[in-house]
Amino acid sequence: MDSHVFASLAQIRVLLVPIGSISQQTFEKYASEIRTFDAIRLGDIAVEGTKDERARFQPKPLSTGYLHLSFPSHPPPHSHKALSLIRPSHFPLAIIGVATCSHSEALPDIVSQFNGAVLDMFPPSGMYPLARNCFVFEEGSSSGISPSGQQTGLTIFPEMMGNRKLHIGTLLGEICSQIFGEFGVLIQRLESPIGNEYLNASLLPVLPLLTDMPPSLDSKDTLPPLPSHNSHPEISKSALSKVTPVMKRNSSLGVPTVRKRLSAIGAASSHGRLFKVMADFFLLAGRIEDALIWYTEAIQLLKSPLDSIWNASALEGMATIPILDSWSAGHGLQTSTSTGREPWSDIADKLIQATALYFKVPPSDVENYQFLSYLYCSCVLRHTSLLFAIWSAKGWGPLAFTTMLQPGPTPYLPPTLSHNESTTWANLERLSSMSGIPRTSISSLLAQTHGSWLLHLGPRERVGVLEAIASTYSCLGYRRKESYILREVLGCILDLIVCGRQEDAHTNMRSFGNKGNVGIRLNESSDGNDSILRLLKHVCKVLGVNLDAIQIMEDKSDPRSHSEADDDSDVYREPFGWPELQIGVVRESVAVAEALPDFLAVAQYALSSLKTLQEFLEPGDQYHLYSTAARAMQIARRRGIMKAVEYWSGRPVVSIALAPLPFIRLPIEKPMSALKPRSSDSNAILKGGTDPFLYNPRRINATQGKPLIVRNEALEFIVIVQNPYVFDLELQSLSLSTSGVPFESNPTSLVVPARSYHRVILSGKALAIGSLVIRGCVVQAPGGVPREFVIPLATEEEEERLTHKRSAALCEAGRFKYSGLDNFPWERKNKSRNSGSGSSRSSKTMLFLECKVIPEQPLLRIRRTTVTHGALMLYDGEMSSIRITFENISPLPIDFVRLAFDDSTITPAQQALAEGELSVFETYETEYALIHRPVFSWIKNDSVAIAPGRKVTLTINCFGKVGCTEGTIHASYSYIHRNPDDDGEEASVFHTRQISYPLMVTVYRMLESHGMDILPYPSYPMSTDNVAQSNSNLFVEDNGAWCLFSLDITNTYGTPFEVSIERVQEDVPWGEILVNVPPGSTSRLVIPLKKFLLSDDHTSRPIPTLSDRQFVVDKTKLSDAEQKMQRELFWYREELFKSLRCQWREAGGTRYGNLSLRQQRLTLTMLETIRTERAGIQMSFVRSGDSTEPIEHRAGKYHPPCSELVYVRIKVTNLTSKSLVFTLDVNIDPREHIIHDGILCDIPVGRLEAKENREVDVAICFLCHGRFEVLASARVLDSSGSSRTGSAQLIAMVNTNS
Amino acid sequence: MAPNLRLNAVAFISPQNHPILIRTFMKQDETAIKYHYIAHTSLDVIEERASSKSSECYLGLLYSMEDVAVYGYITPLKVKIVLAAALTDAVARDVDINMASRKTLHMAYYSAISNPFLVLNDSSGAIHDTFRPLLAGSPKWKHLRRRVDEIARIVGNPSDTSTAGG
Repeated sequence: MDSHVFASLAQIRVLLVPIGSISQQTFEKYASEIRTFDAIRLGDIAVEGTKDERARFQPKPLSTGYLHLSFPSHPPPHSHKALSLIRPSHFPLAIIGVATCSHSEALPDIVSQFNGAVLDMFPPSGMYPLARNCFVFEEGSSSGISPSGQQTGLTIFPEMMGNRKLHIGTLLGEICSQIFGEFGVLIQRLESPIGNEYLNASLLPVLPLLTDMPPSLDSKDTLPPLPSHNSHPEISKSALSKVTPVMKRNSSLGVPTVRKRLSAIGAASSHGRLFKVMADFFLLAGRIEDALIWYTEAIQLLKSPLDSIWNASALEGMATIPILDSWSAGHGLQTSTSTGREPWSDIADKLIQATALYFKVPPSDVENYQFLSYLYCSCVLRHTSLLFAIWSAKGWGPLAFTTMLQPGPTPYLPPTLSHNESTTWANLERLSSMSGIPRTSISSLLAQTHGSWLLHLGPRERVGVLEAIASTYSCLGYRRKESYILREVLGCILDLIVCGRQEDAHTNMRSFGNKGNVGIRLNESSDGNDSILRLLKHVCKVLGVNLDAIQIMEDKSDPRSHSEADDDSDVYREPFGWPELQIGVVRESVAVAEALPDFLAVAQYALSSLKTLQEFLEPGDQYHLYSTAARAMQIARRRGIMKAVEYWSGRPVVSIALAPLPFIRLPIEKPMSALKPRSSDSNAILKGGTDPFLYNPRRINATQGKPLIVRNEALEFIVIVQNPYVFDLELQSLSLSTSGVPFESNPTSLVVPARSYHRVILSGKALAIGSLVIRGCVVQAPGGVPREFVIPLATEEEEERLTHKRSAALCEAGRFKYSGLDNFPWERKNKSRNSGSGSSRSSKTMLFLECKVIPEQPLLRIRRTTVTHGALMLYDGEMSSIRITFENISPLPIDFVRLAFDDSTITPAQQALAEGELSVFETYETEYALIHRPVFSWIKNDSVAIAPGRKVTLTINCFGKVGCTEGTIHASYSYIHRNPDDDGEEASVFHTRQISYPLMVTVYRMLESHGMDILPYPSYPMSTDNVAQSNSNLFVEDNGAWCLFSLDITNTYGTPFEVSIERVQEDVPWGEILVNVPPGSTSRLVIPLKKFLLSDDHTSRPIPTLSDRQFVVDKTKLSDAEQKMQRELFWYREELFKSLRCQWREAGGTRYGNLSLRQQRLTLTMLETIRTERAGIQMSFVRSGDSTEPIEHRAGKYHPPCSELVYVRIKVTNLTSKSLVFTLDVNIDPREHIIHDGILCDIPVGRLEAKENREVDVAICFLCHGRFEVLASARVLDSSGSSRTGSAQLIAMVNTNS
Repeated sequence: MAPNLRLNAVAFISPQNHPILIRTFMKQDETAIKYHYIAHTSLDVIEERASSKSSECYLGLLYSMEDVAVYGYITPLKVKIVLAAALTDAVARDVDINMASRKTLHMAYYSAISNPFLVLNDSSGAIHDTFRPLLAGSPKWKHLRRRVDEIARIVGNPSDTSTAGG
């Protein structure tokens, strides 16, 4: 390509072309050998040819100058023909074919190929090239190649040639000499009047082919040239001594046809242009002095009628000369220069002048705009490169000249800037201060090219110019400007690509023709795509977009390889750069990559942009980028590209949690010791599982233990994934990443809705016993590489670490040491990582979700129950049973089944107990209800075993308890006694599973018992002969101490019930009372009870608590007497309930149950009644004296005689087991009609031992007839005062008639 | 006579080289991105100038490109103000006017950030909810924008300045 070297005007271009099947490497090898000759001493040029016109440009013998060569690799486009006279240095003046050859037969081929290539590159209508040659390098031939046919323009280099380089130099010299000869011929043609007219015909004239020239010229051409001096400018003879231009003044000889053509132009045009061309040729020929002279002349002539382009061009040429001078002079060692002005100011002035002239070119034909712009731009670039070379060479010196003349392989990167730190601020500033040229001046010069001029350039030149601008900016350290220009370069290149494609399409259409519906796919060449993409990345990087944020990787890479790459994506990211520009450049780069097309790059760029610029991208853009990327990946896949992009969308997985197992599958770990029998089973139900400790460290461990999962059973994980984008994110596969025991899981694919969190359930199966660690998730986007995202457990340390990180990022956010381009976010990240990684990494130990895999467990299900609809209807106190059939649906046997029950009455009772506000009495009642009257109960059976697939039925007893609304039957089961070779050692734990059966319970209250009373049994003497009465329940044989128990039963339900109360006292005949209670009515049940007496030891015991609760403080402050009373009441009530069995039975039905008396209260009166007296008293009448005739005793009444002395005999028996002292009171009514002996009150009986009795006689005499009542009561004489303990009554009918 | 200084665009750029406000006074909106680029590329020159002579706030003509001349001003706290003026034939500019207009622009920015209700760093918490608005010209700079518009209007009308400033 064109390189805008400063001294390009003085360089002879020699085009190197590969010929034949030469490999690129070989070509480069030989070409570089040729390229080493960038300057040839004039003295080395062999002067050939003796013809005068050919000799004009040949170097003078012993001249000391140099001629400069440059070796471009590409010919200029055909369209540049218009420049061929004004800018001869733009064209390759010579063309050298480089070929290899192994046998001489191939030589004609090579020659023809070479000629074909030359013809292809340079149409015959052009003037150039002036010389051609083909270098054939012999390679690998056994026999030397002999130039058999002696082809012209073919030079053969034998393989064994030792001084090949020297030979090449000589050949180059020959070629140059040939060129100079051709220069002479050319000038000669131009010197002719017609030639001159052609030269002045248009702004950018073209010399027609020789054949197109008027034929008369040909004939005249052969004439010896006539020296003409008259029109020649005043030139010193010395300068023109040898090369005096020989201008033929043969305009009069013009052919009429030509004259017609040229008549409009004017016959005699100025020779300014001719001199300028000559000067150009002299410059190329290395004859600086001549060039200077001719330039001066040309400028003079071109000024008067202003021919600005040619004038400017001549100025450019003149400006080149001092540099050449200085270079050749100071090639060895350059001493100090003039100190006054800057040495380059003259040159700069000329160039400024030239620029201004180009700038002011009057508008002419549109087709010339391209060339005018090109000339303008190259002039500006020449000026820039002058300053730039001086600047980069640290001032005016040999280095600068070399840079300007022989830039070497990297024209835009001078050696001072080619090291690593060249673009640091210090280096650039140093260059500026040393050279005295500020960077701004260079850049402002460069800015002149930018603008509408560029639009008129041809695409190829535009790329070249822009490239030059960009490189200069880059070297100046103006990276933003560079990237700005590079964007335009890219635009140009893409334009070219598109145009080229269209042309291709056309030619293909032509070449293939219409073949019906056959699709034709051409092999696209992807050469150069990489460079374009690299440019893109560079531009984006300057704007702060890292297109490499997503890497392209091999398809089969390990997802865990970069697990820690950026796990901090949730941490605050500081915005960087210029979002508006970034979005623009991102769009462009995706479009460029699409146009190339490089599908992987499309995907990479689109996804990188999505990742890095997500906050700024508009929804439409996001969607576009995403769909573009997806499409590109699909195409890439289809084309068999084995690479893929890494995962891109931030951190998609938010959390992973083990889905709780269904209750029936949940294994519960129990220690083996739980199987041993325990002393008290009742505690648990009373305590309700409450923990006595406010803080129990073990409980935390228990809850945070590893979740248990069962081997070979499916388990589910709930994964929360997020999608921050506005489109639906598709994940090709999402799977769990685990370590530990082998885990079998199937990846799923899913689509996450836009801007939302999504819940995914992943299922899997653990295949072995042990510990399973869930590290995170492996995510794969469509066409991407799977990537693992580690999700540590959200422990406190982890949270702390994240918070720390976040706050550190926030803290760093406002601080910056470097700004702008020194501060790219990706570089900063590396920096911070390098600095602070040591400490954070080492302390970081991540905890993961860990599960314990336990052996397979059996599974039980409830096959059937006797309960319909899951509801149980009970009467209050009803006793019934339900049966549940369990079925083992696992292949493992079950050898352990336990049932536990729960119902809705338990919890309130437990709460009430736990609160401790209940009195002792109520506490007892509650506890009693909990322990002795559970709603459900079963008979514990340790030998239940269920073989695989078998069923077993268990019976559960139910008890109707008012207030119960629901209950649950829990069955725990396990397979404990496993085969020991399943797992080597005896396990210390076993696992149970539970199955629950909830029941709706309805308990109807149908019988209400109330009004319990205990009445004294009437002590009226019963006649034994009264048979009718003996059938009654109320009748008791024994005449001892009895009382009557009565209870009212109300039937509030709709059906009749039979209620029975049985007497089950010890040593007492069994008795029962049975009453049918119709609906809505109240019946009273009365049954005699034998009084009983509890010992003091018994009654003085405290009210027991059924639980082993500790620290039960009696809250009610009772006095001793009250407490004694309370205890007596309690114990007597307990005894009373023990002696009665109350039951009900559905009338005409089968349902039965207990009738609870526990709601009934025992009052003190009742207590007195039921308690047996301590003394038993029996009374009888005895006649006085010896009379044996008994007193008539009839129907329980005595008939003593009147007015006669009788004795009332009172027999007092001590019924207690202790010896007591008794007194006796006797009361006779009516008292005024009797006479008695002694006292009637406090009759001393004396101490009676246990069961001892003593008779006391009281003499009385009835004074009249009538009915008398005698009442005797005994009292115990003790410290606490006397109290009645026993009494008896006797009725006497005194009748004289009897 | 006061030169007719036609402002094409004004850009405020933060010390971290983020755009704060870019205001174009051209009729058509599609050229706005061009001034973004101009402001962005002028940072190259600003960096060079600012580092060489630190005391001076006014950086002068940074460069001229196509039809605009770009002037720069940097506050002591490294907020950059970039002015893009139409490149007219009147090349020689009255520096005082430029200085003044730059001073007013600086004052406008100064008073805008003196607003106690201005949230400079809207916290990171809000970011995740919604899109982050593009940095340049986010709504928080409403007042600054209004002021800048006014300055541009006054600068663009020489009659106003001549009557007001004398």
